[in-house]
Amino acid sequence: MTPHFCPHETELWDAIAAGRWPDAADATLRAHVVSCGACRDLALVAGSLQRDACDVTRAATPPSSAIVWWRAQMRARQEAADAVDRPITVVQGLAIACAAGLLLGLMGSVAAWVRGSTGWFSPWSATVTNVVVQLAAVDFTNRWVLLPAVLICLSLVIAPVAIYAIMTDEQP
Amino acid sequence: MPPRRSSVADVTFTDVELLQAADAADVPLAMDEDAFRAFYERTAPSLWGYLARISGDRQLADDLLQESYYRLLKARDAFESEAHRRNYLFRVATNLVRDGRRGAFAGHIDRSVSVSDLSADEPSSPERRADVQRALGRLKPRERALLWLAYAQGSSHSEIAGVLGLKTASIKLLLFRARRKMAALLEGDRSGKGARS
Repeated sequence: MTPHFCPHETELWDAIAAGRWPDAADATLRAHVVSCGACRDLALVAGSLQRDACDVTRAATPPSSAIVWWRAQMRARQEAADAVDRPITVVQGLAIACAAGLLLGLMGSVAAWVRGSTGWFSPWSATVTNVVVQLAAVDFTNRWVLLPAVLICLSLVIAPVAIYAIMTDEQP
Repeated sequence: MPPRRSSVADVTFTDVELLQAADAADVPLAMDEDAFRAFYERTAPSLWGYLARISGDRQLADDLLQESYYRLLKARDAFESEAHRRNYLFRVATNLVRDGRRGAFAGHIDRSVSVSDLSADEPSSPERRADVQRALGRLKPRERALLWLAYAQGSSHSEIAGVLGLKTASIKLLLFRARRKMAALLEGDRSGKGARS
């Protein structure tokens, strides 16, 4: 599509914007528009959109300024509160990351130490194996054995959850 | 922790909240209440019309309008004039519609411009309005915005460039092409009706 810009477009747009088009417009301009494709397009599109804009603006039902203002206030307040909470969350995240890093570092050191002292580890290893064998020999069908075992396992599961719940409740 | 509200339109008021709001000191925003309300009264109908025509959805226009004003109120920019502030508002609104096509409002946007959505309360000439809406609905979103800003709002090329994030020098050509396309669509509608009658 090769653009064709007509020098009369500005004059035509001024007439449309001022509401003079077509009845109160200059006769020569009207005659020109009949013969100029670019100006005909402009008159058709700009005229249609101007009328449509008048209709839409007249029928516009935006919320009242009071409502919009109050909602903006409420949201700004809420965001301000969120912004206050954000540093605490960041600090908590950093603390957890530091603790995890420390734990991993310790585990690495311990592993290296254990690898370096296998002679010391051997008797302990035998003891642990012995304990495991004895545990395997325990009769868990006996309810006096089963009940304490279940209670110990349950407390191992519940305790961290309870600690987490308590710590969460303490936060504002 | 209760779910966070995601947009201005989602904020609902309980009586307690309203009382708290009345008592509490105002949160600092870019305008005071009187200035905001005066600016809103002057600009909201035209912004609403723009959003309704660009998005093709009245409900969405309400939501985006409120979001646009909220972002204006939170803006740290210093506005040299009312025109500058108004252009900024339209730019925010345009970006929200554009972002919406990709994200949060995607479910609303581009159901094509629906005649029934927009014409329910509007006055006479339903056929003419339907033609315009149909033609706009077949244009690309940027073409719709270009034509609306130029001919419905009467914005200058530099203002349009600012709102749409384009170069001023390219507006004339883009406008020419969009105008040609819409004229062809309007003429097609008219000749189609002429052929039927």
